[in-house]
Amino acid sequence: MSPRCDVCVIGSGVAGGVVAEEVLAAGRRDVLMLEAGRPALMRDHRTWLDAWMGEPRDPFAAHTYAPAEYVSTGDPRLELRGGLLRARGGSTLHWEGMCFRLKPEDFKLHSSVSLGADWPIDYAALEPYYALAEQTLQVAGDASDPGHPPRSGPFPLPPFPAQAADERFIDAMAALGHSTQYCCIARNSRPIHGMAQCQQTGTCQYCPIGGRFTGDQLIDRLMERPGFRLLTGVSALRLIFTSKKRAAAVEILDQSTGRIDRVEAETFVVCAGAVESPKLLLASACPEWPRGAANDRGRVGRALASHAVQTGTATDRAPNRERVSHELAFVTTVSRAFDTAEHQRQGKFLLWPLGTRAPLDFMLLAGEDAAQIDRELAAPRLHGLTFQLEPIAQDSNYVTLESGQDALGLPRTRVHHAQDDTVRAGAAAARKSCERIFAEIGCGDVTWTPLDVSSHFLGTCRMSDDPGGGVVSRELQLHGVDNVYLCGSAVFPSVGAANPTLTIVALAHRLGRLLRERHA
Amino acid sequence: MKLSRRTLLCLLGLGGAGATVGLWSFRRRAPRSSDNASPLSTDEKQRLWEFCEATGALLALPAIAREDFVSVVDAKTQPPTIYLTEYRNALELFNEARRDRSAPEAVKRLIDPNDHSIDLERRERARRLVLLEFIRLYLARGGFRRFGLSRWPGFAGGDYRVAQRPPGGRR
Repeated sequence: MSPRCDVCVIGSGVAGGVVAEEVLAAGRRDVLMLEAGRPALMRDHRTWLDAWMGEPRDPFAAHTYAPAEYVSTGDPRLELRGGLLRARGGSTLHWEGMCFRLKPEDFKLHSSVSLGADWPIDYAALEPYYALAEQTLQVAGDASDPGHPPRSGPFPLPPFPAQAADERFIDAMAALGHSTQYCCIARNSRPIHGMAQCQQTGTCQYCPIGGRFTGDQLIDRLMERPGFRLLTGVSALRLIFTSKKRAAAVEILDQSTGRIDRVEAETFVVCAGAVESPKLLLASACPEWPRGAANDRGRVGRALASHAVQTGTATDRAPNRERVSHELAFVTTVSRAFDTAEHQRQGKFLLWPLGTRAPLDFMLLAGEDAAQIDRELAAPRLHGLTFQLEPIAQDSNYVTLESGQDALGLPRTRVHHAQDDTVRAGAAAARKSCERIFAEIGCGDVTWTPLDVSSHFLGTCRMSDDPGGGVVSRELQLHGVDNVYLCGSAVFPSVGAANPTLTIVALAHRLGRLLRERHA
Repeated sequence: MKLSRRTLLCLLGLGGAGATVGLWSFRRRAPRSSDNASPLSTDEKQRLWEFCEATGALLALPAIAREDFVSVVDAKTQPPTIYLTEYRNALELFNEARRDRSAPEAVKRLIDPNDHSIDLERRERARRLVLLEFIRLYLARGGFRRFGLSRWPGFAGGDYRVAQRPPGGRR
């Protein structure tokens, strides 16, 4: 018999988990969650050893896209492999955990500088949900730091201290009149929800103790809630409409049996990220929606965006007498001094220092003796700066269906992404700013990596009051459909400079509460 | 200036924006599968421990507890037993080199890039998959302190140097 439920959530990442949690909080509702991926082994000592001792091994290699499953074009190309996970809990299983709010001006990009698009909601409307999101993600930070947008309360956890290697950056920024702040990060600076305190070892891509938030932790808590069910290894193939305004079911493929079935629900919430969400809508083409669900205007899959990133490195002119080395393999200090309204036109960016760690293991393996190693440790340090720049979303960047099927029985993916002149000009300005900071630190010539792109996939089902300008309404309801909602990074009309996950979770809390009210 | 592989290996904090891909992409040589192999015997574990101890002695790294070592070896030889073949390969090379020299000298021979008397493929596997692991185990258990550093990834304890002032002041 086909499963039935009140609310069907498609995707078990952090957005889906939060929506489900909010809906279940109302009671008397049952939620069925569909996840095409499988559970990944988390907090496992052996997996951690495999990942970090001997030859590094990606513990999530089996949970990401295979090269044959997508076609990526453009420059720089966006790679689905590695960055995006298809697993129980979603891509936060291996995220860095950086959690920054967007700033008020990010919601008014077009109004302010005539570029990109505005959000149909403003920062004030989202602020209470940002506070909830910080609780959900267990964010450590200091509310009194400069650079934060207006906030109604403190962070749930105190910040991690800055490491000694950050001092030169902090001093240089201060000398140039720029602020810096503790990195807001979803790591446990205290034990929380039964998970251990982060030990700050920097083996973060696979944490053996659950020292940072990962999406599976939220799913684990949901599994204990009455009314919640999760099906993994089950792919959502298409939404089935009984009329233009109403979806009656989602067609599913059970990968273990090959059986195709249906899940019927009153409400569907698509939380499959900025790649799979538009693909599901496009795959749902039917007589009522011949170009795909909510795609009469051809907006689905358009305006894909991803932060531009670039790293500069330069060698200190002075020797490293104190043998300071980057001690923690994650970011502890950031600056939002260039992530302001006045930088919006040229391209605002988030900035953080990175350093070098003495590769003692390789030195010893190479047979270097103590004196050789000490000479290397005391040699002038390499300083690094990475900026993460806001791009202006372009309709010419997109996600769509490709012929053939992937390993999960879903259509293969075609993704096209190219950086335009606004990004290149913004990056040039950012490099100049960084080179002034390097000079203040006391470094020589700067070497830059090629201008690259992040693993943040944003846009493709934009939020807009105007059905011609987007795919979902401000309530995240598909335009023209009464009972299908979409939540996640896909709905961002513009992307700001900040990492997106905190905003995704804030939107999920907001949608979950809206659904609770609508179904009360 | 072109960034060397070593420099790239050392660059930290590439951020949430794709750091994962970068770090794992340095994988060069996967351990060989050995699902049908018998588990390590008590004698083999003892000899591996001697190999590990000799590595620490050669590199003048502070001692680690045998229980720590055994827990790692046990964890890595549980199914899927991808490390059994590698441990046995390294152990054979170590035992061979040890016939006419001390244990630390035998390790030195495995490390020495100019010694071409050992099968290069087998020695490279032993160096990259076993010796490097032993070295990291020593470093993670506090061996990094010998070089004046205060922290090492994988070291789950102790203090680290904290900046004397909070970031940015209060502008």
